[in-house]
Amino acid sequence: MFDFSVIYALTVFSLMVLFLIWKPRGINESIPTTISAILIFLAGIVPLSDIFKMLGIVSGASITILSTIVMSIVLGSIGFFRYAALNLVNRANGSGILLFWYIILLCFLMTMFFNNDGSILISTPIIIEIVTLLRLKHHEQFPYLLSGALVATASSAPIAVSNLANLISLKIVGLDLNSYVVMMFVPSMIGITVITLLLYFYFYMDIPKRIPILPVSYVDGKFSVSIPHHPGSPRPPHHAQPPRHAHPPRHPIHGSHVGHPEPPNPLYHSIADKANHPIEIDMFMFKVCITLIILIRASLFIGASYGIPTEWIGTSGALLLIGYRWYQKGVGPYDIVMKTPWHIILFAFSIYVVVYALHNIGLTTLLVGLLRELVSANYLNASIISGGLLTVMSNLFNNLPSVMIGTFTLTEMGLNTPTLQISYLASIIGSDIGSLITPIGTLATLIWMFILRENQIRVTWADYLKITIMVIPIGLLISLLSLYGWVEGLFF
Amino acid sequence: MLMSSLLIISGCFLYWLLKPPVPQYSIYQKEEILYSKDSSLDGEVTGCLTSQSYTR
Repeated sequence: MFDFSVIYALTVFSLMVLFLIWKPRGINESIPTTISAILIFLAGIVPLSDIFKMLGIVSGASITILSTIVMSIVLGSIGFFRYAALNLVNRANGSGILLFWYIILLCFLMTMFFNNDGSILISTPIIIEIVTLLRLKHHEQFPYLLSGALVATASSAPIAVSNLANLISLKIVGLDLNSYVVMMFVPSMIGITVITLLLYFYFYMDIPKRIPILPVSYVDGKFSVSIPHHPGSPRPPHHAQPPRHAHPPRHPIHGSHVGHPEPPNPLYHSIADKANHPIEIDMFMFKVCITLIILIRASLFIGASYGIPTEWIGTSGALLLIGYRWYQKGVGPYDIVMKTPWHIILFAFSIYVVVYALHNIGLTTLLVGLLRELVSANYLNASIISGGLLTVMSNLFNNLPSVMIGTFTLTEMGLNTPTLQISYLASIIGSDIGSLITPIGTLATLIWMFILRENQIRVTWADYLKITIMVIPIGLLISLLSLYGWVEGLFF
Repeated sequence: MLMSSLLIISGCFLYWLLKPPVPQYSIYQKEEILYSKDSSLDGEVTGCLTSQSYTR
């Protein structure tokens, strides 16, 4: 019944999944996937022609991610993250709870405006700046960091362009960008709301209830925080000592006296120590870079309607930003090469090869045979089964190749158009929301973990899974049920 | 059209969220002000300031 290639591919795949979950000595995710891809290629299960085909698919996604990474690095080097962090903290007006909701809103809007990878690349450094400025303890940082990441990634479901996985087979199932939004916006927003509320209640005890505000001043091109220093606390050596009979500190924004110095609070001083280091922001360059980024984003849509590949526009925009920064600050592209998580791109390509091998040995045919009757029975089945299938596959071997296998399976089932469309949309919910259970489910989550590691914030798979396993399945199920109710009630 | 509208709305909200907020006192500072107006604490604060050794 089974020939050598089937047993070989299944063995390689099982070992790869085992190593991905086990992670002996904390090995990088790309190592088991790359070794598996080489073994699959050497056995001839995936021919060279298919490898080139996959290179084309993955390179498009990789270039888009790379151009967003460039954007993120340039934003970081002009001080945007510190600027945004300070403004968000101050907008929260001393409330840690309000800050939580502002961070959620930021991550949601970033994904709507950019995409899931872009949102992670821009929102995560802002949240890291916030928790660093506030000197939050690890258990206080985690609610902001994880909730932001989960919402940023899940928020790629309402709009098709927010996630590359959404676009893979949109035309094949007879949908366009607008019909996608009309059918998906409400069900996915219900799922995202449920996930956010669950995260809020789960983390409620860990979220600091009160946070200080960090008054910002901008004088002579220097952007800094002016927090009055408590006279009783030790000062770092580089600060000048205060006068003996100093006046009570003035409110840094209003300029009015706030009475006696603030009550002794070590947290307040640690913030002052870090935040009082002024960052020099060239506001002209800041405005030019932000304008360029908005124009690049707009060009992606205009270009797409004229058939210009988005990766070309993304690359041109990235080169423009690098060139402008080089011209203004004399900083070359070296830091971009060093800071780019190349291993994630290697992971995306190698896991694609392994999953394609599963397709070649008959996984798709097997799934079609098993699920055809169930999926075609009614719309509720179509929604739950397709969403569930993509959730399982995405969490085992990433959502990009899973959507490809899912689409092959659905199109080979010979379903009628409404069932095919609801199944496809459910599979997108599975790949965008359901895939958040494990860190390998989406490239955005892997990028998030990479950014945290780079900033010496340790989050293990166990830390991550402990929360996602309770939150994501509930959000996913409610989202899939909403999709069924919304689409059947209004469209079919 | 629908997509573009959503993107423009997101962009506007993002701008509002990330721009410097209108200055206002925080809960934290309101309490500081109340604290500072409590005359019963004046002696303790003065005592604290004068009893500290201070070197320039």
